Amino acid sequence: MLPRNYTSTDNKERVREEDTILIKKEFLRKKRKLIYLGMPSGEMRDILAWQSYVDKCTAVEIDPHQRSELVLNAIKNGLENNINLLFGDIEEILINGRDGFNNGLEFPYDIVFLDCFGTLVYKGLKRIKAITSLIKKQKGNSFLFLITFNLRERRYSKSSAIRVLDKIQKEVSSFYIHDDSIKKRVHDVMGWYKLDKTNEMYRQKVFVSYFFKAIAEEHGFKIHVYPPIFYLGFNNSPMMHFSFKMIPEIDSPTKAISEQTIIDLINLNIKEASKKKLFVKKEQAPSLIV
Amino acid sequence: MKGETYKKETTIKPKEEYAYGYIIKALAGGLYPNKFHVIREYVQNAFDAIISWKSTNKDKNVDIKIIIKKPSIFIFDNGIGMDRYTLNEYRKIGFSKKVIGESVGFRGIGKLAGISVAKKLIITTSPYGIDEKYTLVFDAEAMMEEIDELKKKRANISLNTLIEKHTSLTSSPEIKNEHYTMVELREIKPDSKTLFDKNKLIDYISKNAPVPFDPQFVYGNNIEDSIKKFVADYDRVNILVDGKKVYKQFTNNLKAPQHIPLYSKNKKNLLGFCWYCENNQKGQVDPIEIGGLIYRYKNFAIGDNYLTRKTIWNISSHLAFYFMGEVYIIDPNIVPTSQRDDFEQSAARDGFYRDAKVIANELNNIARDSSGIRRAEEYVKRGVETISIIKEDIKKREPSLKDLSVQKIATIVNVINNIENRKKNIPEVDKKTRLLANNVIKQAKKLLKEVKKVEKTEKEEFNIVKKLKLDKQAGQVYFTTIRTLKDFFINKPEELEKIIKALHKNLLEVFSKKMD
Repeated sequence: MLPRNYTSTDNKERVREEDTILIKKEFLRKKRKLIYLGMPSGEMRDILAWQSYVDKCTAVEIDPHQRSELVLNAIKNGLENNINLLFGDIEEILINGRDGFNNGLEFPYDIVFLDCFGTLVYKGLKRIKAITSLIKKQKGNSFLFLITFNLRERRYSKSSAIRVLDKIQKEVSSFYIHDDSIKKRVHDVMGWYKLDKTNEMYRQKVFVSYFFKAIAEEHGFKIHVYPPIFYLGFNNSPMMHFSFKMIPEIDSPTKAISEQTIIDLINLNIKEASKKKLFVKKEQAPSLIV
Repeated sequence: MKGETYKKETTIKPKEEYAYGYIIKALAGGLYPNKFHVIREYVQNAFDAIISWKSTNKDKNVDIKIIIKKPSIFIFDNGIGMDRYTLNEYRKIGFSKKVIGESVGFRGIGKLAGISVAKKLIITTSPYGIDEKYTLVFDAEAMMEEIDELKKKRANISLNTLIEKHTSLTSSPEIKNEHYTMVELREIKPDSKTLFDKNKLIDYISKNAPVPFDPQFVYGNNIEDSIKKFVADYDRVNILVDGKKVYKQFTNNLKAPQHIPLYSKNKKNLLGFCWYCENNQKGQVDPIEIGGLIYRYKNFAIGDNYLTRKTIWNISSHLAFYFMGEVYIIDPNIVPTSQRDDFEQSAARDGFYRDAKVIANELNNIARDSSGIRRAEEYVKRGVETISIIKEDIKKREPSLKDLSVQKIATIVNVINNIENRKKNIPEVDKKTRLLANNVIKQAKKLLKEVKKVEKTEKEEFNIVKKLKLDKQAGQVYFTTIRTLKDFFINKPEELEKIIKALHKNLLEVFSKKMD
């Protein structure tokens, strides 16, 4: 994962405002300042924007220049002692729990914010492995999981995305085994997602939400998926931002079960941040009304 | 070379290079045997920047922050900052506009100290009033690699080319009011990993940098006031290592501070200023590492506590550690070595070392006096204890008193002699101890009389041999029996007393019948 938003944009700021609402809620619910893990880059705008709600931070940075900038900005803002700085590739760090210089992650976190170059399956399954590892290490602790994907980077295995969409189709159809009309509807909707001409943001909405739901439930978390936000980032890169609330289901003998079903996730509307405003996107994917 | 005539060389090439890349290698490897000296070099620069800022601005809220974020170490100051031209001077080795005696650093070499411990040296700075910050990157690793590669081929690269090739100076926007310099030692080399040890770094800074006295040190303010009176350019700065504020090390187990200003022979110029506190306890200051005197130049330590001991103590140098203190160098002609482990050899330095011997003499005298006082006090204390024990013995009237009386007499005589001999060492002001000493002597003399009297009575009481008119042989048998009993019941005097009394009673009965 590479941080791409070196320079913040108005759209990004609007998305951050939306996240601030969720963070504030979490702060009020936990009645204490929160602990953050993220990739704030040199400008560390997230940390500065959430200062009122966030106490300790773990910042991961791979770019040495950004790293120096981050330290400089932290000092200028008097935050240098609140930041645990790890140096390297975040996926490696999430898998190993520490960077190459023995700086360690300090679990559990209240907010995790990953900024991804490319999609969930960019260049193989390492990213999925890293996220799974993170969720496992958060076991028993509720947290907000924020993740942004840069959709311009298309280097990912489309076939694996199609396979996941097939799986979703099969899973949803299995609920309505005797209703051919619903099965057809499911087939049509999922077929739309598989079309080449379908914008990547719609496919990602379903794919990412489904993946997080599956992984979260597998590791004892109920998940709430907020409507994802599409926006144009730095250099007009198409960005997709997801927010998940992860709630541990303690002492459950089986895997956790979220209130939102797969159908709810498919039917989520995508929002868009543009010109400092946030609104429900006009064009949405076909919904699954069952 | 005045007075000599030389033929002018005419063959010098106009652009010939006179310095080559290997100098960098020598600088990187040879100057800093102690890795922490590298940090000190940047703290010195930061301190100079802060002094400059304070001299021209009202905002005195300035400090130095050292931050360990592996694999880098950052040294930040919010001093005056540098413009692009001043920053560019970092590239010029041995170039410095700082004046000897005015600034802590002045050689223009220490600024590159970082290349000896890190793969890259990065300086980011912004001067007040300019909406830009500047970053200079010194790619030390690439430099070293190129030098090594060339060396294998017996080739050389000019210093200018090398520096131009492996350094870069860039600018980026910054808030106009910001003023700072941040040095990053990026990717600390494996042989310098000790720099990541926060506790060692704090220890080093507390001993060497111009940090304040600890607020817990009871004499801190008092000492600082006296330093300020004599050392015109005295200053100090808050230094935080990973958020922990560093202070000079101290112990409160000290006597009140004293000071010695050192003047030139004509008494016109102040050459140095020494403050010291004597250990309140016996012997050397504990812990010993904070004992002794430390030379300070612009409030930076020069050498360690052995340097003063070595340079100004001729005799009894161990007594230096009976004190804690500092010697501030004021004479501008005395210049520290680049390693800050001593001062450069010069007439001024040698003269200072000579004149500063008055410090050693004064401290030696104080230590000896204190030692005498302490010994006198100890004898008085011990005398009180001894007298009380003997009084108890007499009260019990142990049967062994006959033998012990001799010892007791000797002990009491010793108490009297020891206190009499050392009474003069107790200072007049210490009226309490003096009175106690006199009392102890008085009591001891009284007790002596008593013990002698007891001895006499008991001698008679126990002299049954005479009473029974025993012959020589019978007398020997009696004394052997008594001695054996005494040995046997050495720890049970009451039982011994009973047995001897019973023995005497029986003997008297037997012998009286016999005599009848």
